[in-house]
Amino acid sequence: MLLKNQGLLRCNFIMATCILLVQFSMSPVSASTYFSDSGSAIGILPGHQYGRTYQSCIAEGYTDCEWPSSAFLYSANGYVCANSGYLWYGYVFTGSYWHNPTNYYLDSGGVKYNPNCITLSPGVRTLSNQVDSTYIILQVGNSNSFVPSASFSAAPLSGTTPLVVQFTDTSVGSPTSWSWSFGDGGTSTLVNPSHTYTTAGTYSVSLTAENSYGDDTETKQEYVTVTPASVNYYVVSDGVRYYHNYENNLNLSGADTTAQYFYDHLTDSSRCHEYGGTNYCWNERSNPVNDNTGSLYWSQTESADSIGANSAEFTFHAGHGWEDGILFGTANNYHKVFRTNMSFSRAKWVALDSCQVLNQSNQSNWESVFDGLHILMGFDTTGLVNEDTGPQFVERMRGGTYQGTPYQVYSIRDSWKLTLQDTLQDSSLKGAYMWADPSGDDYLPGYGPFEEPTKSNGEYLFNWSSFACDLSG
Amino acid sequence: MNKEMIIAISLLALFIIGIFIFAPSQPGPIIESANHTVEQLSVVSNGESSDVAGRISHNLVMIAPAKTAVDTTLVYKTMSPTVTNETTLDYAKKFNVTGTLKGGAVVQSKDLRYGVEISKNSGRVIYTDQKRPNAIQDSPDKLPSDDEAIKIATKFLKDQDIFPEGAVDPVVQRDNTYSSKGTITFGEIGVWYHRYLNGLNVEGTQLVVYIGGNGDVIGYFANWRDYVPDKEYPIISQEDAFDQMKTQGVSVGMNEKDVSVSIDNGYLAYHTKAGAYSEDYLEPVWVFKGNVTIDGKSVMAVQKSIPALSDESVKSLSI
Repeated sequence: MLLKNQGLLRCNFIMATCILLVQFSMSPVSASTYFSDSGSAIGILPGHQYGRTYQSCIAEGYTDCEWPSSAFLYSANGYVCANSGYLWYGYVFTGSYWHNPTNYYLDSGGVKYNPNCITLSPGVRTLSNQVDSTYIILQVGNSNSFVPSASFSAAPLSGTTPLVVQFTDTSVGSPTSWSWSFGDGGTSTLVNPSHTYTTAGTYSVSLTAENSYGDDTETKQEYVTVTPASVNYYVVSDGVRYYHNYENNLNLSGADTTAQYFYDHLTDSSRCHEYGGTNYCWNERSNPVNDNTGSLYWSQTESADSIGANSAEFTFHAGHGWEDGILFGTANNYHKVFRTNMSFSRAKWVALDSCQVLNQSNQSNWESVFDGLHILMGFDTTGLVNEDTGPQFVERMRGGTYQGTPYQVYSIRDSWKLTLQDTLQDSSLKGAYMWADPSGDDYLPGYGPFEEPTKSNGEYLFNWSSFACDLSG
Repeated sequence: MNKEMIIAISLLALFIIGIFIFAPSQPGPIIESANHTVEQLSVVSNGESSDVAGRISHNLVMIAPAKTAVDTTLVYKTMSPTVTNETTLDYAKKFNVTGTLKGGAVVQSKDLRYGVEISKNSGRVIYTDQKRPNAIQDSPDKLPSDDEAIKIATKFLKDQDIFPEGAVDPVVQRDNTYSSKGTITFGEIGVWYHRYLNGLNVEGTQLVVYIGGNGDVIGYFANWRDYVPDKEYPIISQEDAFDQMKTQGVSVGMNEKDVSVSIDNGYLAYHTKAGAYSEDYLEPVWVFKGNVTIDGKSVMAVQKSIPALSDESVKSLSI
């Protein structure tokens, strides 16, 4: 409960009137500000009690306190009672500031005094079980003249993004205005607002209810739990370095590690990452497997079509390539796939770690594969296969760490450029990429914004660029 | 079976194997699949392994005069980089980057746009502005001339106290972005500096400042290590290095195996490793450059480096 201000209140308990000396300060109250009242009562009453019909008594420890009011009765040794129709209201002073009492009881029967106002039947009540409190203020007054006591409920209290939660005010004391804080920066002044959580997290919610007598705030810590909605993305990677039957090679032991590492990194234990309230998970589309001869190849790849390039969002190919196509390797054979026959109906990002696939003189030929594709990456020259290209490429896209080196979060395009510059050295080497507007600034889903390519007059607009990796030679 | 008969049978077997291995290539059948036209290529002779993405040629001809023989070359010891929170933040300050420090080696702005990254393996430093270049700020008409770009880059390096001693011979590389119509829509100018030690080019050195529109510094990549001289070590001759290269072959992409390659330049240089890697010594290499030639025309540039240290020298280094 937040107090608007604090003041010195001198009360004449006999006459049930008060004089408020307002201190407009939230500073801790010093001992010198205490005052004695009739009997043994001392203390400070919150300023927002101003103007209310009430009686109060401040008890130091368990000492006696006079409560001469028709609203309640008092008996010695801490016994108090309240008449019907009156509410209890109280604060505890712990030595630094006033706050709600939470740890003492008003009667020996175990009825816990709630910070909220409660109505007590006439009778004898006992102050007991006070813990770490130096002073107690007990007040009673007419229920129609009280500061409201804020309370609320909400449903649902958990769910995935976007989570719409309906909040319901259950305050007592006739509040006239409400101020909600939903914990994610959102606010409302409605009585019963609804709020949409778009980002995963656990949120504390508070309501401040106010009327002409003052205000009260209830805060429910870690009240709403929002988990990110999950979206599954798939990756396929191939990289059989020595293709079966190609160049008279019968051994597939050279499955390229850079492709495997790309795949392994993107689908590792960090495969899921939240961005913008959505949990993006990268899943395996095809797995490298070992057959009983020790050969390493990609499963589900008995044909170039079923290798999965057409059923994954991200495709990474390491191996042979030329201006018009690439070679896919499988367990039993290799397949030469021409760009004119490539169809990436699902793929959004394709990296061809292969020679010359994006030579400047032929780059426009690759426009035929851009049916929904965001970006195509490759080389403008002969490429070099390096086992670190794949994993570093992944870790740059997601701002991870590889071989002890931490990276920034880079866009997919910049990740490709910097990975090549950081791993390959050949002054004749030039990387290249080609993208459809506006997808050149895509980040890997889960790590930054990305956009679908758009058409202008029914056509995609393309950009092509190459970059030098090393000009020292 | 006498010795002569064993030899004869062996030769016959080798001959038969050779027929299969070196059989001329034949086009393979075309296999149609749902989305791909798959051409099954024929088996061609090779039988070797390679880690390059393409075919190999051993048909190399050296058309450049051999360099004067030298017996030894100075080898440098590479100093380990010092990468701490302080050095990283200092670099971030030079590039006016504020943001979260990560791993003691990365500072990136909250919006991901600006960042500085230092490799703990090599000391390689990267600065990026991921919103540059772009079509609005970096259109061709807003880019400075080559000479202006060099002046801007050099001044920036000196002003920020990151101009290394020995950075010379800046060259300009314009990385342009083209529309599908072939017009340049925007670009950046990379100003690359060379480095020489002991009179030899240090290949692999990457010191580049990227200049965008309005002369803005929009990127920086520096793989520039610190070295101290170790001592002279014996090296192999250029001829021996060329022979090694012929044995290994050079990548010729998808050109035919053993297509003719003319080497018209060979020289001794140092070679430093890429920024991702640590390095113990800066070692000499023989660098060969040339072209794949078909029907007398150059169709593809090739380049390859052969380590120049003799086997004994390598053993000495590893001790």
